[in-house]
Amino acid sequence: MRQSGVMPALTDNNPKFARNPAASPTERSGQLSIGFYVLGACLLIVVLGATMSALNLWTLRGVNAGLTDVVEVKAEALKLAARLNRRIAELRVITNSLLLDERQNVVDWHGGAMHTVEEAVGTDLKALERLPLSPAARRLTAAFASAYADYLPHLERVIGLVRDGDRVAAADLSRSTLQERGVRVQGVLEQLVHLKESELSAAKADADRAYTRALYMTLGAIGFTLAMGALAAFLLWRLITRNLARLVRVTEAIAKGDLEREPERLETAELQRLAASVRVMQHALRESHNQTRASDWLKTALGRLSERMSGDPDLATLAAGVISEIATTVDAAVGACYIEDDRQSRALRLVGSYAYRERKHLANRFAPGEGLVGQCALEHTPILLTEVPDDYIKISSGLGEATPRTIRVTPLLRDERLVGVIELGFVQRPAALVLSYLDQAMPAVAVAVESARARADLADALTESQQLTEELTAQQEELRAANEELEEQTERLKASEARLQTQQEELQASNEELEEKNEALQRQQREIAEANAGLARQREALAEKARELETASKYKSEFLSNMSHELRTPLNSLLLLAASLAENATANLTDEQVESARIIERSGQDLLGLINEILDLARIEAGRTELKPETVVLAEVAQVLDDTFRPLATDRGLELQVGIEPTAPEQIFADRRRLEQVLRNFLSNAIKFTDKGSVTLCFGRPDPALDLRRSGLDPAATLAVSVTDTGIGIPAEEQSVIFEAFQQIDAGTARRYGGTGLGLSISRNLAELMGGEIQLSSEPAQGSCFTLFVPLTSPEPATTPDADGASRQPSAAQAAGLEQTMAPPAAAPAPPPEAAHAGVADDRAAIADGDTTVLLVEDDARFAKLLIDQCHRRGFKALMAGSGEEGLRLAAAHAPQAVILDIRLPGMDGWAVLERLKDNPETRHIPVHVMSVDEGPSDVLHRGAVGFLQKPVAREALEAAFQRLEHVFSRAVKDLLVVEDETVLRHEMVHLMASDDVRVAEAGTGAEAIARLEQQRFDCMVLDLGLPDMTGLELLRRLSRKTGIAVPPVVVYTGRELTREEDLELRNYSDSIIVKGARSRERLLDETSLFLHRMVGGMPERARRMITDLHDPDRFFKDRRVLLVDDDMRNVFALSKILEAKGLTVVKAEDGQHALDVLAGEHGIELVLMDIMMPGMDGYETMRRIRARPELAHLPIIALTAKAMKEDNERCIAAGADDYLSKPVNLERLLSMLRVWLYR
Amino acid sequence: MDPQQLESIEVDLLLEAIYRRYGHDFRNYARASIERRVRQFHAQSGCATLSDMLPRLLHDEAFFADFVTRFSIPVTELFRDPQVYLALRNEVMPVLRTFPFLRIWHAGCASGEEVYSLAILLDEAGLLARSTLFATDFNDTALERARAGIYSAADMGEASRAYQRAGGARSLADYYHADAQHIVMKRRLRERVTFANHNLVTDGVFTEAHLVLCRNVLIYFNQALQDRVLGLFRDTLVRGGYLCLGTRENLRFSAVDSSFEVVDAACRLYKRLA
Repeated sequence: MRQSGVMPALTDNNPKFARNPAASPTERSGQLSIGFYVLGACLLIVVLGATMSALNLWTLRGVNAGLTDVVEVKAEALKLAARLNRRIAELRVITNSLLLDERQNVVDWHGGAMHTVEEAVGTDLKALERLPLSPAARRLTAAFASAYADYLPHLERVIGLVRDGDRVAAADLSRSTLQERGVRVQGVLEQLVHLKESELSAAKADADRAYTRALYMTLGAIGFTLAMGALAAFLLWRLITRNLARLVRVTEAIAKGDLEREPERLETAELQRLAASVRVMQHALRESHNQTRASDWLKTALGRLSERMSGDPDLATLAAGVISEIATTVDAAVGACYIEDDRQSRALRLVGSYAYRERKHLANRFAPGEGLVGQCALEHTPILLTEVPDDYIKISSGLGEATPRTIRVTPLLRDERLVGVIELGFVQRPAALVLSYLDQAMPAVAVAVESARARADLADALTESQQLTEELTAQQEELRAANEELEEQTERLKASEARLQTQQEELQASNEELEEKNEALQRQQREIAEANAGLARQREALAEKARELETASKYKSEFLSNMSHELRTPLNSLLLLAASLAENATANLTDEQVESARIIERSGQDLLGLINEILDLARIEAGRTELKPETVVLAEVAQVLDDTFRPLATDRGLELQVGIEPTAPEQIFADRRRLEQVLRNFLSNAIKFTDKGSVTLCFGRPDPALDLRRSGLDPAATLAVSVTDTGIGIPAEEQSVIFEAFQQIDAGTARRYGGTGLGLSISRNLAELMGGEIQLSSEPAQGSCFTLFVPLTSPEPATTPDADGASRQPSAAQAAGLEQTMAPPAAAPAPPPEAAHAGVADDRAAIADGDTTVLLVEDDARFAKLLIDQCHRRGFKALMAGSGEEGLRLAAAHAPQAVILDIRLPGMDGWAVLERLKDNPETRHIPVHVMSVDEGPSDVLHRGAVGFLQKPVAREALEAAFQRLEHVFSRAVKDLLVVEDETVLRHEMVHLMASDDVRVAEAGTGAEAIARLEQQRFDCMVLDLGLPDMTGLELLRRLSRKTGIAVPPVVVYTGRELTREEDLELRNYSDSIIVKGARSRERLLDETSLFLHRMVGGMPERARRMITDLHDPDRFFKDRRVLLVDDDMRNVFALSKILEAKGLTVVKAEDGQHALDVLAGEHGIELVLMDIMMPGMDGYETMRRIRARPELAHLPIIALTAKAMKEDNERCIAAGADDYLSKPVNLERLLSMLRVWLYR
Repeated sequence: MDPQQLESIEVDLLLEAIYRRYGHDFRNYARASIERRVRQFHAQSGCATLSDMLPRLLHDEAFFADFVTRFSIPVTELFRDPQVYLALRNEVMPVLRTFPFLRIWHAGCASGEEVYSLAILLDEAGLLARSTLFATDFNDTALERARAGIYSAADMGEASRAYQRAGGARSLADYYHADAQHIVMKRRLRERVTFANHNLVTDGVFTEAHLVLCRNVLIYFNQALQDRVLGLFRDTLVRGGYLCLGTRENLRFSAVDSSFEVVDAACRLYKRLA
């Protein structure tokens, strides 16, 4: 909450305080001090007083003078006068007395007295004369004096007289003159006295007047003085009091605490100074008050802050609290608190803020040095930014926005270490107090932040350690489990070791036994050899006979063959012409004639057939038939035969059953044509000789106990194909006869049943040729069963004893027509036999046709001898070459079955020889075993060798190598077609894959490839997608449409990336797609060898196993449309093949979205098979979406889920499935479900 | 009857009950491991004997959920056992490059770090665009975490080092966004992975894969179950596909031994023979 008003005036806006309070210049001048005033007043009063006093004094002086005058003069005079008067009076008295009193003493005394008086009078008179008399007085005095002077003598006389005793004279005189004089004197004196008295009165009047005057003056002066004095006093008082009062007010106010109050204008200098001092004091007080308030405020604020920070809050709360507290305390409009986030980079992160609205491009992380915040962090000093630009940051409230004017950034330092930065935005410039507060708050906050961080770190550490503990426990658990696993395995290992040990012992024992047996055998062999010699002689004789017979038969057959040829030529023309006649192109023949032409044609055909059969037989007997064994899929054969004979059977009203027993293998290795020929023969015979009932063709295995002595077959490795019919049967005595050529049971048979009687003979010969035999069981009128036994794997074309060497050459040209030309013996003229290698005799001169020859290229004579011995021991003939060049020559000349090649040779080295051998198409297929003292390179196999031996060669290794060669001789050669337009690459691939048992053919264009495939059957094809005349995909499509071409398993080898659609389509033809790259050769070899040697046949095993029952086309499924949604291509193709085989049309979708698109676009989808686990939209989601569409709400959906728990299945139903199936899909269940859900 | 045997019976009953009630089949897990886990759980369950847990497991689903979590303690991290990823990078990726499209299944992915590590490897080999990755586990909670792809930022230091040791040439930080506490894996890695619930004990094959990883899961299973699971993997893999197991597991003596050849024995890499 904002606490405004409590804060002391923090902003220095008050101008008053900017000024020096002590100075008030305008007031000082002209101000007089109080002293002056007081002095003035006093002076005034004094002056007035003085004046008054002076006046008084003057008046007094006047009075005094008057008085003095009076006293000294007038009064004196008066006094004197009076005295004189008195004295005179006295004198008179005395005189009188004297005159009257005659007593002498009195006279004396009086006389004395008179004397004294006279004297006194004299003195007084003098005194009087001395006095400053007024003129009148002076005259009087003078008068007196004169009068006296006049008197005196008289008096004297009188006295004199009295003394003398003349009293009466004296009396008289006195009365006469003296009295008068005396009176005159006295009169003068009285005048004088009166004068003086009047003068005195006048003087008194004067004095009175002066007094009055003085009185009035004084009064006036007093009054004036009083007035002035009062005025002055009043003014002074007022001045003083008023100003003092003002001052007092101010000081009182100050005392009360109001420091604002300016002292009112004062009028005196002292007061002014006092006021100034008061102001200073006020100011100082204010200052101190402010300071106190400031420091109080500071303390309170800091106290609040530390209170806010107390309680161990976490960093975020702390930062928020701190910034909020600080911001409100300092009146900032906006604030942000950055804490050092990462100890390594020392970056600062915004942790708390106050009224801060984040803007997008404002970072809330700063590295040291970045921005003001970073700079502050770097410098560890606060930064104050004034004149903030307008768009810097906005202070926003609900009602509006403003821009702060000042930004202050304060670092939080703890012991010189930066902890964080606080940034505040102010609307006005912050006061020093704010800055001081911030600076003081900094350490406390820093400490708090540090401790919050420390706490956070601690908490993290705790969590981490807890986690680690958990992890540790788990890892321990794992370790323990792994340990237990290992222990178990160790146990198993020990067990197997023990077993191995026992086996080894057993082997040793059996070895010893074998050795013993060997010796016994050798003894026997010697005996046998002797017996053999005898037998040989006998055989010779027999052979002679046989040869003669053969020759006879051969001449016969030759004759027949030539005859047939002679016969066929005119027959050809006959047939052609008959056919064209029958066509009746010109429409000018009658129906009868056309019919005749047709009859001619038919007869011609029959004749041709007969001739062919004769020729066939002849050929077989002449031994010129060659078998071409290949992989034969029995199901296909069965199908073909079924297709061919079903109509015939149905025509005759017979039931034909074709079946393959479960024990029968899926495929065998035999000559397909011949096999079919025999079976065809059987079937046609069966149909021919059966009027009613059934004919059954069955592929299976023979009874293990069966006697197959004639062919020497092992029942376990034999296929038995039987044709059983319910026909006329064959009597026992005839059973051997029917196999003889040219014979039927009786002459009548041919006529009734047709046929040349040659078929079975041919069949028997063929069976023998194939290494098998035919057995017959039959009951007359019940039926017959002909069974053909052939080995599962036909041997290499067995050449009959009289065959020429030509049949040995594997690359002989094909027989195009019905005849086979006899190849000239020994293809190339043999070079003149060279002298055999020095000291070592080889067999080059002794090679007969039919011998297995091994070419040894070795320059070490002794080792060569050893090798030759080995060869001889095994019955091979050896050719010896001491150098690479000689070796090549011999290889080309004699075409050995194998080559053993030493690397260290004089001249051309072994690797070069190998390369040349592999490059030459004639010798490419010859297996080469390489030997060397050095360790061989890792790609010795890739260079074309079939094996590598390091010299010195251990006997076992050599034996093993020879064994391998032997093994290789007996293996069938496979054909591989490489379709690649880039010549260099193609050659490389050919080089890579050609080996002892793989013949590689090449094609550079699509057309070439098709041509090749038409010519010959291949076991595998490597196909590049980018061909010049068509894409690989196009090629595959075309091939699949062509009948008559067996498309071999395809390995797609492409340089570019495929789209999903291409991938999908390619999957129809091949599931082996290799993208060219660093390791692609490896894969190429792997995949091709798989197809070439494992006979996989183009479809994954699971899929093949799934094709069980082909003979139950569920008509119910015909043309119903089903949508299959699955991302697993393997599964998709497998399922779709099965379903399509059942007649369903399968639309495939790879993921949920595609499925939805299909359902939106296509109509006619009657059921959906939905895989659950798919990327992107899973099955549940897809089903929900499907169900969301009203028109699809009733579409049956079967979910295919890999998950097996009940709740998963419930989920399927909940998501909209009608039913579910677990993978791997049980075919029967799927089909039955389909039947249910498609039943609408 | 000694306590050991009694305990064994109790454990059997518990597992059987769980299987019947919830369908989770722990009966073929490695015995010693299971017993230990059950004992640990028992220790913090507050029940007196093992059998006392039975009614709670049957009636209290939350209790059971807790129990299940115990059984999938995920110890996992980015590029765990870097030498294995290095081997994958050097020996498997080049061969995978020869396939036009790739599917990879990581079974028992827990919280997903190893799947993302693999995605990173694929990305660096330029194969991510043609790959679809499936990551499965039977623990939904872990799957959620994995789907989110959010991990603690504190672990990234160690993870980066592991990444370097696994042959990474770039910086691990290129593959995630970070804030102070957490990192989230970048979307282009996450969107290639489909996380789904799949129980190796009960469920079947659901796809065809070129590479299957299952690390440190088999050690918890007994031989019969291991054979089953390995059979699943064999059926899932294409010809020439690769299987990668945990560093303490191997194929020897299992029923599928003959279907695989060893590519790298130390790293437990195998190749499916045709």
